[in-house]
Amino acid sequence: MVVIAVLGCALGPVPLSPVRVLATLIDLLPFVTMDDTLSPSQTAILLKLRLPRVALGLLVGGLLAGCGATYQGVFRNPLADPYLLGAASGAGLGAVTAITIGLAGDGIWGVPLFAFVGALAAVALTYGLGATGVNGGTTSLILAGVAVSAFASAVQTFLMQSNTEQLKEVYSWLLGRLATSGWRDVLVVLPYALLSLGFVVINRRILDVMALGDEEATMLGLRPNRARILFVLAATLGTAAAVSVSGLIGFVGIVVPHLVRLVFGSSHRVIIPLSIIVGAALLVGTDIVARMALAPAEIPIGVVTAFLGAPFFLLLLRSARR
Amino acid sequence: MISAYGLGVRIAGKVLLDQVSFEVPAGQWMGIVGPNGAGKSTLLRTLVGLTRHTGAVAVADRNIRTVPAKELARMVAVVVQQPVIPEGIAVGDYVLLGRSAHLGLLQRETRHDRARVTAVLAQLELTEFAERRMRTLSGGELQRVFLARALVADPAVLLLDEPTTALDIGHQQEVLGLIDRIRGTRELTILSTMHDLTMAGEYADRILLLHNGRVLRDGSPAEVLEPGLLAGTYGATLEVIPADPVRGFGGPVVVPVRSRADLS
Ligand SMILES: Nc1ncnc2c1ncn2[C@@H]1O[C@H](COP(=O)(O)OP(=O)(O)OP(=O)(O)O)[C@@H](O)[C@H]1O
Ligand SMILES: [Mg+2]
Repeated sequence: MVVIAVLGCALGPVPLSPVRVLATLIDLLPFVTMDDTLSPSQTAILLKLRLPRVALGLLVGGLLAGCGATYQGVFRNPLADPYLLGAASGAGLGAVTAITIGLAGDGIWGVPLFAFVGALAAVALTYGLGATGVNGGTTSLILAGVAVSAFASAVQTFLMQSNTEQLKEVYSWLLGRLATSGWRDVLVVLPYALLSLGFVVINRRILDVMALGDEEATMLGLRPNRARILFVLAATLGTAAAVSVSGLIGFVGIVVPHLVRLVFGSSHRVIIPLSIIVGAALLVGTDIVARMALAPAEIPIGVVTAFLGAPFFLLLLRSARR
Repeated sequence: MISAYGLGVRIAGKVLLDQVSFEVPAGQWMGIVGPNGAGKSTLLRTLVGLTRHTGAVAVADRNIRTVPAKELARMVAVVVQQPVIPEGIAVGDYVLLGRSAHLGLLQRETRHDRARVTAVLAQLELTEFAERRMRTLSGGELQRVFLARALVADPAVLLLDEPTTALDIGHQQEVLGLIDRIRGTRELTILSTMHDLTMAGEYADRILLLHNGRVLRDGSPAEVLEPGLLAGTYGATLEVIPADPVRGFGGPVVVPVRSRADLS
């Protein structure tokens, strides 16, 4: 993750030497002095443009993957992720609503909060429609998620068409991007990320208990319904925060936890923290690709994750059927 | 230690349990027997408050309705008939889940919790399996792991739903002997449902015979394992050889035999 983060800082329209980037960053720490740092103008690029972007990538990637892993644990369903459950499109609808009524500039309260409410409503609706049983019901849950997503997107399109002046802003946001608005976006997501991932990481052993099913979990002294609600709240809050700053970046929430599970087994003690770390690194890495592949033009990062994630997802579906 | 007072359970108009009462003193092992569908599993689930029931259950003289879920889980540990095995989980992590009832929200396992797991794994000769994934174990090994998860909770009462049904006769004896030895090392009250009536008589101090949700008989193995009663309840043809400590069997031996009508 550290390597990718440093690379993420170094690569871009103005290439910086990775070694010097590292040296400059270490130099910023108190009581440490490094020679061989970047020039002042390069340092400015690093601190004002690259670093916030990398920080945002780490946060959003960590959030999407961590929340995906949480949803999968709570619903005991390997296909549950922020996108398939409708949380992301709900958050999108909430965010677009906030933008169209002119709340875009309101820092940590406007867009994220609307996104959270939208996401929560969508997850509740998906779950209400699709939960024929927490233990089975994969298909119906996913179908409900698709329906809810489609509905949210429809309402969102309607909102966008009737508010054409913001269309371009919303559209670029929708495709998924890591904004270049400096540190502001980072500061917007940070509190939500800490709250959401903090809760999930600290309580991750409970996800293992829930994996035993409601009956055995109850026998171990857990109240499954209460626990489920808390985890869904935390994951939805995290999803909403990620979506509200970076738009719709798909597949990270499902691909990363699966990779981690494949390699390290299925205890959430391991899955949750590793998913966050791998997700963070992966998104920053993907962002490098998004910036470099067609340079100087940037591909929206959501397009890149979809390009890489969709085939993987299909492989997963195939192996799940067996 | 654990008592039932007039338990009744009905689901969708069907009576699953009806007026079931008993008191099991601390340290006793009660076997629960009866044909398929008699209500054995339902009874165990009811004892930990998992069914809507009439009547009352008391554990350590407290009505379980007044005991918080966590506290009840610390007093009574259950091994269900078909435990869920999460995909890919390692034995050590699975057994550690048994400590859940000792942990609050925001709390993580301490060194003490892990030490309990290590000790119980050693006691059940599972140490070498700690890192193995659950799916790679044999039926007999799995059964010991389930037992380990229940034991790490340090319960006063252990409820076992058919702990030996999937096992061959050697492993049946091994698991039941193990449970009996653990019972000796600390005061543990055990209720286990069983299909093998001879084994039930060998290991349990007392047997409860259920049929259609009712208690048909409750007493010592010699009182319950009685040929006429069993033949009627199970609809089976069988012989019972009385206990004979001199020849090495402490309880009556129940032998299913082919019916005479078949043979002629
Ligand atoms: N949720 C339920 N709804 C309807 N009927 C149920 C339900 N749970 C159990 N039963 C019925 O209650 C009866 C008793 O079931 P239970 O599982 O307690 O039997 P058992 O004695 O454990 O049987 P076995 O020896 O086969 O395990 C069965 O006829 C079963 O079909
Ligand atoms: Mg049963």
